[in-house]
Amino acid sequence: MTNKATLLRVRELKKYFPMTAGLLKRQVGAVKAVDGISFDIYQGETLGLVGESGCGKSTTGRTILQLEEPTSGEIDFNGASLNILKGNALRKKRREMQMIYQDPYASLNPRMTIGQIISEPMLIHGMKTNEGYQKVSATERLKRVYELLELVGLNPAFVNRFPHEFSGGQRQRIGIARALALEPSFIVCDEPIAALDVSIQAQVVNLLEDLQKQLGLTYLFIAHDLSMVRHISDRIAVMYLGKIVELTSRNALYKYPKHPYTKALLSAVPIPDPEVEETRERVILKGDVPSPANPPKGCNFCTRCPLAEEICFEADPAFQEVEAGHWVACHLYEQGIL
Amino acid sequence: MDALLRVENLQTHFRTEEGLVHAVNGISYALEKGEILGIVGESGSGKSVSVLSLMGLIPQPPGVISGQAFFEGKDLMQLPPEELRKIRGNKISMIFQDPMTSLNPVLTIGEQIYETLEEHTDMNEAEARERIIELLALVGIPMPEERVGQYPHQFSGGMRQRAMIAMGLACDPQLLIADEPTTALDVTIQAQIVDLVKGLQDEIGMAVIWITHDLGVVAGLVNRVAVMYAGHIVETAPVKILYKNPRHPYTIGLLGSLPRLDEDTHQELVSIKGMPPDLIDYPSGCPFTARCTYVIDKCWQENPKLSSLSEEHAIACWVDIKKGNSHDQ
Repeated sequence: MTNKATLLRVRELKKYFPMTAGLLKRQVGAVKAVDGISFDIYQGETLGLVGESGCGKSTTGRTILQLEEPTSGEIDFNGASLNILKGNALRKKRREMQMIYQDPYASLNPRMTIGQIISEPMLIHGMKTNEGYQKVSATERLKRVYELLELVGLNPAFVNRFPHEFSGGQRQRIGIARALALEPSFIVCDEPIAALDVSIQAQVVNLLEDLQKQLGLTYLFIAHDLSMVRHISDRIAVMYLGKIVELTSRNALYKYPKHPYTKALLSAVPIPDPEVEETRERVILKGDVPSPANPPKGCNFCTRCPLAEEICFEADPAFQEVEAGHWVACHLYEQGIL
Repeated sequence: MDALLRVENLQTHFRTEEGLVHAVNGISYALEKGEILGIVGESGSGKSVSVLSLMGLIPQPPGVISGQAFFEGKDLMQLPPEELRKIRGNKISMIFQDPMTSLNPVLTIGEQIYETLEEHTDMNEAEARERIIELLALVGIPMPEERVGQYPHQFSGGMRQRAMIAMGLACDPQLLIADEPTTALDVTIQAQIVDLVKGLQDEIGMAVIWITHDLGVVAGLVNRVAVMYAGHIVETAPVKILYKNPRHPYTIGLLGSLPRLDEDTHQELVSIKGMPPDLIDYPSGCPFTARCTYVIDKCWQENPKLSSLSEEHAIACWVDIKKGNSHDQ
């Protein structure tokens, strides 16, 4: 995997949301949603980003696409520094990066037909041709909409219908068609299946995988469902309270997890097989995730870690490569205890 | 009549302006004392409505409910409201999916649990307070003496669900109905709650109906599973048999569409094509026909009844997949 070209390079990315109080809106603190994370995404791969609610995984996705302005850090996409780009230059770059949202009910404008929804990106940016993006006629846009609907498995005859006439799974397909309209190379999928029923989830995941093969897409797949992330990803990053605690290939993560949080998270995921469940040992974590406005001193996980030592309450562990392609941030691993 | 709860031919329909919604279409099951039954189904399969109907929590109209449900020999459907009220929250209690909206934000946790105790027991306030603290400790809430006077917004999601469970357990129920209690929670918190309910069930010996859409959670928790689809129970079996030897095409599809954490190979998921049927324009044959891969002519005309394959395993399907025949048996 490492010999592949890097498409996206993120270094020390931080996103703090200020907390204000009083009449003068004086800043009294900050919610450290994303607190210094670094990773690469290679061309054509799927990087899974997992974590519990509030760990900053969606903010990471949104900050990469510059939907939120990062507090600090670098984001290099295909040779361009997104964190420096502004205005028109950034808009042009956005054509190559798109997003699929979690809630298929809230992310489609109810007053637009699906034809209008899917062609809107092309209206703004033009259509990709051999000579770059160019303005095209309404007929050509419509032709492209038909193509896209077919591509995502919807009947092109639906083009004049409104979102409310579709089910959740179909709406998610519409969202995917919209994301593909500009032929992007990189798509952030922000929990695209969390709002769907189980039998429909598999349909959407299969569609995303087919599209990736057909169009050579690169995905950042954000989810809290570890089974699904394992299924779709090549490599997986585990986030906890604004930090990546472990990053490695899908198989290594599931077979040889190193961070205590990853281990606990894996053991908490139920496996649909009563016989396996009977003999499985669970690491049940105590307590809740601390507030990102007031993270604990030392390692962020120290308040819930079943193995925490003295040092874990004092210093923040470094995120380092312990084996080829396997990064972990844990003191215990550093000291050889684990 | 040994079963704790025996439901027979329960039907719940709703009269709406668009037409009659066929939410639950004649389901029957029995629950033994101390048993954990999982009711699994997708959204709109009627799993929640079926238990809400039992508890008298569906307003009529628009609901139209028929059928019988015997609990300790009494038919819950025939009981006058005040009699049902004595059972509800006392012998049968319920916990809901969203602990955020099912707790009253302007009452403290203690006050909310006290409501149940006030209704069903003759404890005085001091006794009740002691009992509430004991309950909060039982469900694993740290510092219960302090927590009892706090409001729901001071609790995290997992803690709120624990408080809901404490409320459900207040009167030592014989049956606890849990309607997707972990759906809104993170996996590590879900594991805590599942662990808690399992432990409590062992300790207190109550029966549990656990409603969920997640076949994963059910696998490690329940004794028996009933799979619902479009208002029908399409398959029911002891949990191990159901996962090892599913026989209804819908159950097979549902299990196939779940990725497994312990899978080694990267196979494409087997998805079920199409969508669940419209509950207003309800199909005349088997409701799964349009999505099924084993269809025979009969499926379009007549809806199969739940019939036994073995003593404990029953499916509602015209085709016996095991025999591999797909045409007129």
